Amino acid sequence: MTSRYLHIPLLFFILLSGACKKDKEVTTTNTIPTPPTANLHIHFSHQADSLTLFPGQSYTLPGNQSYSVDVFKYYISNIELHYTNGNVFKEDYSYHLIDFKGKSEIILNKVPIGKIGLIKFMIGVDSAKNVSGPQTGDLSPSLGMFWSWNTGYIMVKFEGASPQSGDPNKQLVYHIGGFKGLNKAQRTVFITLPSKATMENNKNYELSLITNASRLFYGTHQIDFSTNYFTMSSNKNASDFADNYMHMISYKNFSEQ
Amino acid sequence: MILRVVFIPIILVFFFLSCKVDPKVKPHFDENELKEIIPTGWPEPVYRFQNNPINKATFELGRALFYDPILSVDSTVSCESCHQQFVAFAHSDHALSHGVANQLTTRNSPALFNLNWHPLFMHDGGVNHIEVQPLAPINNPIEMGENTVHVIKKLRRSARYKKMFEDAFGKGAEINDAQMLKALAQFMALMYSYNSKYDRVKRGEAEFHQDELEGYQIFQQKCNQCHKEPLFSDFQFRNNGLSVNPAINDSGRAHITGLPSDRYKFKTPSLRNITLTAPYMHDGRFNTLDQCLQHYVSGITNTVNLAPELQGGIPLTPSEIQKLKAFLATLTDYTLLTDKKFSNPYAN
Repeated sequence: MTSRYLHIPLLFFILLSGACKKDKEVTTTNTIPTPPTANLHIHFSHQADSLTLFPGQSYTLPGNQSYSVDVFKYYISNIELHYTNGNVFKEDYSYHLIDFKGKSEIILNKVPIGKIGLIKFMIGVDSAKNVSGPQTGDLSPSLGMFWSWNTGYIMVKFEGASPQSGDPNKQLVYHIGGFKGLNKAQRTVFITLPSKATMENNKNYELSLITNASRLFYGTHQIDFSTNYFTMSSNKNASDFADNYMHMISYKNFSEQ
Repeated sequence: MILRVVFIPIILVFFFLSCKVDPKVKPHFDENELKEIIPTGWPEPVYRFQNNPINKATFELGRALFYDPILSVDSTVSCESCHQQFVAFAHSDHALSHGVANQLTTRNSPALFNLNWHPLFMHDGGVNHIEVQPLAPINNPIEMGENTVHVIKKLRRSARYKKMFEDAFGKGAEINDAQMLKALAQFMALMYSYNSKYDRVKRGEAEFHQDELEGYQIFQQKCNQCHKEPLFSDFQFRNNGLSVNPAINDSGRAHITGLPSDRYKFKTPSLRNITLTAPYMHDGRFNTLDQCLQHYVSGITNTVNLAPELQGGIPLTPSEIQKLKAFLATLTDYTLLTDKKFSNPYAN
């Protein structure tokens, strides 16, 4: 009698326990060999041309204007590593807010090994993330990098001062944004890496980049502080700044950590 | 035999244990009351509750936030201060809405309903998504005078909100800006207005009186081009010929786009519930529907970018105006005005 019914719940249990497994639980890691990977730390050192950038310190620009900086933040997004063998690694949900007084490093864990020919990324936030409602993490609309009255991200935020500023308080305030049309302010950057940018399995590497704040103010467009000391919306002036900051980041070094 | 009786409950226990309920799906989901509605013949909405699944807990959180002055810097202004249910969530009797510390804004609060169909928000279309819309009044120094970071800080101090966020977003869910905004958006996006007499006539449940019917025909000839059925707006931006108020000099859409061709353009509002939403126009300059209609007949000012539809005004006889008003009155939706689920949760 007992044994006749014992198998029924047992059978049910076995059936049910298998029925509701989620997809990600099905993956068995033992049988598939893990591809070789390395960890890459991308570090941004902030400079004013050849000098290290410190808050409140004065820096001279070509043409004898000078400035000091209090706030300097910008988005780096859509990072891609292009390997010399033609493979491309794209970081998933790749949005990073870099702050010269705060977080200046992006860590890419478990990227494929090999020789990186170039790194590609965007300064700013792509238009898709500007039109999709509230985001989280570095894209949170509460980080002072989001316009609430005219939806969109501030791609690069610079606040400082200059004796040449036309502002009565000698301030410089540049909130550069706008994600569509002729005046869009996001810019794609390619940086070629030398042949030593080769990564081996299970090792940590650091890619050092320089962000030159002075390049906001010269290059494609010369910024005259006496007339151009304030911008807080998407316009031609903002895209002029973008043409300049497109060239503000350059290669410094690549090394194993 | 006894064993069989014992086994059945055991089987049932296994059954319930084997499939864990996703914490985001609320067990008390009220399917009948809260759901996306697309009335027959209406276009597809812009907002489809993507990444914001409708459930009672999220809705109730949005409702609690909508009516809570905690969103303002001095706890004096809630969303409801300028968006009152009894006037279709417009601001009754206020030409220009006021915010914290008795400051006056430069615009008239729009009514809130059928927001899912709006491609852009605010009179100037500056906000491009319903879920980020609340950031504008919260962070505006005149309206709520707050900043989002501080609002979140205040909410995190509240045991009541801690529980409501957990009910809505799962055990241990942190209170953050994105979730606050989704809850507010869900509450507002479910404010549908599709039960006016006009809608019932369209559904074959009622009939227009003679003057309403004639008013409808006039409407179709002379108004429908911009105030397009069934939403009674195409949500495009137009200069509708209002003289520019030099004290405010509101450039409207151009404030956002920077384009000279957008100067003095404002979003075409829906005419649904229009008998309730006085005063009218983006700056609330007209107190009555008669004044509005008279503006289109004889008050059009030929400023830059005047809507081509309004060149020379819209001829309407006094009798046509009366009939048009009779029709416009059929656009009032008493269901929305009295629906308890949109009422102030702190009132009782």
